[in-house]
Amino acid sequence: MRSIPFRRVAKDALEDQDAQRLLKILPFAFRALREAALSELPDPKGALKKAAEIRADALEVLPELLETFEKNAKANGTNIHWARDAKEARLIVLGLLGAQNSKTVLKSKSMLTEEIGLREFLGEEGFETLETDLGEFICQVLGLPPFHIVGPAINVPVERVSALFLDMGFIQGPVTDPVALGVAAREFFRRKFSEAKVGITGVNFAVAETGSILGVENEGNIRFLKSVPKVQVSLMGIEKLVPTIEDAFYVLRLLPPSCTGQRMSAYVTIDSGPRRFGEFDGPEELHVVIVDNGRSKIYEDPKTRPALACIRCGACLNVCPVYAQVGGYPYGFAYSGPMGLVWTPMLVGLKAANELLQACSLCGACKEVCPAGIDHPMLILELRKKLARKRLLSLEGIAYGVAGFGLSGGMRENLGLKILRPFYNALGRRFGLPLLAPRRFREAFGAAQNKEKMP
Amino acid sequence: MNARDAILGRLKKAPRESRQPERLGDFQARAPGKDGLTERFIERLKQNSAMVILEKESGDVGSALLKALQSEGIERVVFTRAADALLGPAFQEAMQTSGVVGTLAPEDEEGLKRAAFQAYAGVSVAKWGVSELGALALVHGKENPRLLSLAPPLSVIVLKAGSILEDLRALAIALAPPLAMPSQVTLVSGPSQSADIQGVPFFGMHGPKKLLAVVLQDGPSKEG
Ligand code: SF4
Repeated sequence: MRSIPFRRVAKDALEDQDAQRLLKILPFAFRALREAALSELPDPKGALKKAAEIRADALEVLPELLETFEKNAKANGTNIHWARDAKEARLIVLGLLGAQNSKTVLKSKSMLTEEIGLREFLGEEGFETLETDLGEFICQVLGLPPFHIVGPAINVPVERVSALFLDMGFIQGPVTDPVALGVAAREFFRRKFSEAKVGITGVNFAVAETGSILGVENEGNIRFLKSVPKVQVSLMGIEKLVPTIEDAFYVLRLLPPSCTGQRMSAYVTIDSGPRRFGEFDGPEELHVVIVDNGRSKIYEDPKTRPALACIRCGACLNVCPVYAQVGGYPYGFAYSGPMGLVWTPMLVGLKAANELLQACSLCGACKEVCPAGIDHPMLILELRKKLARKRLLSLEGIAYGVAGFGLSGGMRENLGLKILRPFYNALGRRFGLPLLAPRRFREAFGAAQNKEKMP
Repeated sequence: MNARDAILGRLKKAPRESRQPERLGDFQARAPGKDGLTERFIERLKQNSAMVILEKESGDVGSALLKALQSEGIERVVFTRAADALLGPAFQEAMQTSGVVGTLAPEDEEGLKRAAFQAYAGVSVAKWGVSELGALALVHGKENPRLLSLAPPLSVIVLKAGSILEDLRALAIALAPPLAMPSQVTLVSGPSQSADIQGVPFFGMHGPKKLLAVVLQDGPSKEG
C-alpha cells in the first residue's frame, strides 16, 4: 500500500469549516453521553476492567475458541469459510454470490469489509453493492471515506445530502430537515429490502459455546438483511470470539454506552444457524467467513496481541485530542483515531503508516476509556520502535551500499562502516536501538593480533 | 495447507501466557429486588422511547390494546400465531367490533413478506424482558416470525410480566446450553433510529417508527 498522507489530509481537514464546526461538538457530546450511560452501572470502572479481562482471556485461547465455534456453528447448520487474506475473503464472497441469481447485494456497515475492499471488488465484478446503513450509504454515493465510526457521514452538510437525494429521486425539491431526508431514504430502502436476495453483514461478537454471531445496530437494516434474503453472508475477523453467551453479553453491555452513549442499541440479533425447518423468514443459507488478513501476525507477538481485543466502539476517537482536531479522513483507512493508529500500521505495513504513527501525543486518554483494556500508548510506542528499527536496518543497507560504491571486498565494508558508523549510532541512540560496536570483530581481531606482535 | 489449518496453525504456534483469569465480580448488576423488576423494566423501556401498556392478564387487554391502536390510527394489524395465542379469543372478539382489521401471519414466505411490509402494525411476542435495560427478548421461529416486529411502522410486542429477568446475565443463563439456541433471538430496546444526518435523531429509519410493549401481569390493571 502507498503511504498514508496523514499530514496533507489533516491540513485540509483543519481548513474544512464544516468539519471543524462539527469537531467542536461531536467528541464532547459523545463523551458526555458515554459517561451518563456508564453511570447507570454500580461500578463502571470495575465493569470496564472485567470486560477487558474477558477479551484478554479469550485471546489467550483464541485458536481453541475458533475451533469450538466452528464445530458448534456447523452443528447449527452454518457454513464456515476461512480466508487467509483480503483476496481470499473477497473471492469466497464472490463465489457465494456467483451461485445466486442476483446482481444486487445489500450490505450493512462492517469495518472488516471496508478493510478488505469488498464493495469495490464486487463492483468490479459486476455486482451492485448497496450500503444500507444511512451514513454509510451517503458516504458510498458521495465517494467519501467514513468521518466517524458511529456517524460515517455526520459531517456532510444537510444541503449536500438534500442535493444528493434530489438527484437520486428520493425527494422532489430541496429539503433541509434531516428527519425528512431520513424518512425519504426509508422509502427507497424498504423497496430494496423487500427484494433482497443476498445480505452481507459484519459480526460484533461470535460465541464459541453456541456457534452464534451477534449483530448490534440501531437502524434495523441488519435485521432486514438477516430476515428477507435467502442467503446471509457474515464476515468476521478471527478476533471476534468469546467463550460464552454470558461473556458476549457482559462485553455487549458496555458497547453501546462506549459507542453512542446509549444504554443499549435498539437491536441486538443473535443468530445460531439459518432458519429452521418450518420457519418462513430468515436465511436458508447462513455463511460465516472467518478472516485473518494480518491478524494472526498481530497475534504472534504478545506485545501487539492485545490490540486484537478491540470491539470497535469508537470511545477512543472521542477522547483523542488529535482526532478532535482533524476528524476521520486523514487516517486513510477503515480505522481512525487511536484504534486506527494501532491497527492500520499492522495491517497496511509500518512504512505506509509512518506519518500516521506520529499522529499521537501519547496522552493516554484513549487507554482510560477503552472497554477492551487496550494500552494504546504502549502499542503505539512499540510500533514506532519497530518502524525505527526497520528504517535503521534499511539505513544500514544504504550505508553499506553508498560507502562501498566503487570499492571492493573487505576494504569496501571497512571503509563504509568507518565513515557511517557515527551517523548510524547517533540515530540509534536517538531511537534507543542497539548500536554498532565501535569496532567490527575483524577490526578488533586485527588490532589484537597487531598488539601481540608488538615487542 | 488450507486456509483454516494455516490460520489455526499460526495462532497455535504463537507463544501464549497461561493467564490466570481474574475472577472479577459482577459490576453491572444493581438488583432492584423481585418486586421492582417490572417497574424498572417499564420505566427504562419508556426512557428508550417505547410506549407501554401494563394490563392484568385476566383483565381487558383487548380494549386497552385496541384503544392504543386506534389512537395511533392503525387500520390493519398482523399477528404472529404466538401473539394470537397469548392475547386469546377475547381479544379477537373485541377487535371484530372495533373496525381494526386483524389477520394472522400467513404461513408461506411470500405471503408473510407481503403482509409484513403492508401492515400498519405487527404484533409479536417477547419470551423475556430484561429489566435493567428495558429490553424485550424475542425468540423467532415459525410461530413468531422475524419480519412482523420489523417491517410494520408500529411494532407491538406482548410480554408476560412474570418473564421479566433482571439483567443480561439472567438472560444469558436462560439462553445458555444445554438448550439448543433458536435460529434467531432479537433484543429490542426501542424503535428503529438513526442520527446519521448531522447528528439529528429520528425514529423509523428502516424498521418500526414506534414500539408499543404490552405487559401482561397478574394483579390490578393500570395503563402506563
Ligand atoms: S481501541 Fe478500545 S476504545 Fe478504541 S474502538 Fe477499540 S475497544 Fe473501543
